[in-house]
Amino acid sequence: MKRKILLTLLLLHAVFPCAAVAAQWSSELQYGRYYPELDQWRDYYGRDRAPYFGAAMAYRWFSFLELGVEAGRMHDRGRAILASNNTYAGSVELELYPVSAQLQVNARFAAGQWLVPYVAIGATQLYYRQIVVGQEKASGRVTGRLLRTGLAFNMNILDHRAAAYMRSGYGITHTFLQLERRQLTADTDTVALGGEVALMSLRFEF
Amino acid sequence: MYGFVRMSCLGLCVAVTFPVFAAKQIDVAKNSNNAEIQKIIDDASAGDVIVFAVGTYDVNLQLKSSLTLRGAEAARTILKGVKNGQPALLIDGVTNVTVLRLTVVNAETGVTVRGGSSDVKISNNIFQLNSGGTGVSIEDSADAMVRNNTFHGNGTGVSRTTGTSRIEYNIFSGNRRAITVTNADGINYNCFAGNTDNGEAGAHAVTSSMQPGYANSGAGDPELRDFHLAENSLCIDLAGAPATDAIDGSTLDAGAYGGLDADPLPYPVQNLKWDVTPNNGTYDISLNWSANNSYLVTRAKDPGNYLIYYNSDTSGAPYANTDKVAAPTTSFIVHGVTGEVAVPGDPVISGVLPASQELTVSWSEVPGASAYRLYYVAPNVTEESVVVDNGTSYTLKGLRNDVEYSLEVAALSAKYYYLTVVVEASPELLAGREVFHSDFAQEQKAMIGEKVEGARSAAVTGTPERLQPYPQLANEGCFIATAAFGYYDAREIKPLRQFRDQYLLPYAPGRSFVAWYYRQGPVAARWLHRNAEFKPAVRVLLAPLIAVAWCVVNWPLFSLCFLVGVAMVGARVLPWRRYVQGVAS
Repeated sequence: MKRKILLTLLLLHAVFPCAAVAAQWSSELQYGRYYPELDQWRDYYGRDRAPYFGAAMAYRWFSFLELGVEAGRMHDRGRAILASNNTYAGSVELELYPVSAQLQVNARFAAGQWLVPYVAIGATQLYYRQIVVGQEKASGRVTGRLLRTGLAFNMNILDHRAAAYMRSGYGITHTFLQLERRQLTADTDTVALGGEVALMSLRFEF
Repeated sequence: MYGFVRMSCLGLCVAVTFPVFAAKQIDVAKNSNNAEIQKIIDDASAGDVIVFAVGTYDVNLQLKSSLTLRGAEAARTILKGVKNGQPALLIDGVTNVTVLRLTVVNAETGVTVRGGSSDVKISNNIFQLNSGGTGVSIEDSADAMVRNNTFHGNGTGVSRTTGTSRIEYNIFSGNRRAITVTNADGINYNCFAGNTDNGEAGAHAVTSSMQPGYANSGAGDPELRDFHLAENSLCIDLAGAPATDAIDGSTLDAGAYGGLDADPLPYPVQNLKWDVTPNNGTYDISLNWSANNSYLVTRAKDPGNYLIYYNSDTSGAPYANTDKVAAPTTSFIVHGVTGEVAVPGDPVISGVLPASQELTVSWSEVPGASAYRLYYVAPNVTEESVVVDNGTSYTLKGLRNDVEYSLEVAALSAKYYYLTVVVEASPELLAGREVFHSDFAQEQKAMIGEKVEGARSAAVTGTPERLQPYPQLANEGCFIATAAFGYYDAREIKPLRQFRDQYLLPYAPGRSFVAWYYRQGPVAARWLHRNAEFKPAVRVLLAPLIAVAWCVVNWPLFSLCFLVGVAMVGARVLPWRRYVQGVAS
């Protein structure tokens, strides 16, 4: 498998030599809303979403292809139930930490392209921790997968002077504002912990 | 006719305008904040008297013209300055202002008079601002009057940088510097005692290196400061002073409790305590309290009195019973009270709300009950109870989940007496005048005899149960240890978990072991749950592992040295034993 990936990359490099780029690293800061797949989430946590924060790092072989890793955190606080009379009681905290490795394809055809659609697929290790006040914690992890689709707006074209300053001062060649929707699938034997995430992120290319 | 009309108009004008200018008293409620008090001042009319209720107020106030600020009781009406560079009271560019019967503490400056303010009178106040503070600072005023105040424990008592404002009949004690002025004019009849430096003492001064003799200077507890003068104080009846006291009509005393505007009320009794003892079928209630050391009370001839007030079953004034003892006696016994009380009825449990390890029990109120006893018992567990003094609901905590508890409630009633003491100033001092009494001391609630318990309510059951979170996630903790010690977060299991995270998971062999354990562990844990009698044995077997894990996690270097040492000793001992065994054979 590793050999196949390596050969594919070499082949791509041979076919698209002009697509090789000087800027090879990128980072992202992400903020968004996590919409869990669980259908009773709202009943227990009061709303159908939870805040999500994340950060990502990627290496680009070509302008249209990159390999990256990212980590995020989702946290929410809700209630538990007493099974005997089905009443809500107590307090529960749930934390999810997805850690992903992913391959991203950017529809990028020119350096100054202002709108770049992208799609990414990846593998995720979702770590969870659940704290019920007065009871023991539950923690563990589950393996899942990730599908990202989004649009990246090149912010360099909005302010060339600021872009030049970012390049000379910090080595940031491009800054993108990304709007993204992602599907995270991570199922334990009994629980689907995944969901959809609506994200806004800032991407810096070095 | 013309004169009649003219006079009628004048009369009508007076009638219309008089209510507008009529001076009035405005009460400052206890616990008012600075903004609320400042608004009262800003809204006050000329001639109004603003009276602070007994209490403590955090203030930085700016006064306006034609106002009087007065404390209800000098010792217990406390203005606490906020240390922000501003004085507690600022008198700036105004006229006709009086500050009377207040205690000022904790400010950088107590009162600042500036901006050419005139007709300012600061009288019968107490200033105790600590060594960095200045009691009164007269920065720009020609005719301010600082009279009959007590300045104790300040950096500077009074500072006067301009003019000849009068500083007279005050007590300065324990200050780093009593008076700082540019000339001696207007400084008369002050009493200086125990200051580091008196500064300009002026004319007719009484001076001493000792304290002046206060009833209670607050050295033990500043909240109990009482600057009434004690018997034989050097500041009583200032020789030659051309004025008299309102309190006893004699020659004027220096300090906050002298002169015509002095607060005549004695300081209330402190540290009132009680004890109940049986006495031939009845009970005696013994009371004792701290003495009031003011000379108003302690005079050898015709001393003041302590008035004892008490009620049975009802708190607060009016009190049905009164007794009196003369100072210096500071104790009293109420003889022959009975503790008989009717047996209360039985309550009804109206609800039991379960939670994890908890049951909240509610019941009906029983007339005459002063408390309730809640009984709870589970199978194979001894019955326990808790007394609930307030309310008709209680949450039992620390119960076992999934165990049914039986609950009963009984009402308790008891006989209570409510007692307090009042200080009455010496009648001799008050001959022909109003008799002055202190406020009530803190009321005491004394229980007579034993509580009587009524019949128990009908039993109701409740079962605490585990909370079920959503979603229900599996725990991948240390299965066997968790099963053995009962719960995931047991203190004993943490070293094993830390050892796993630090020394196994980072390395491939360790990860393989953990993966194997995660496959096999749950099977062993389930067996242990089914055979709980083996849990103690497993705990014993795990103990050395836990100890080693704890040492490795917390003392890694020591553990490494220890293991190397053991290995070296082993390496040396093993050949030697073989050698010995070879020789022997």
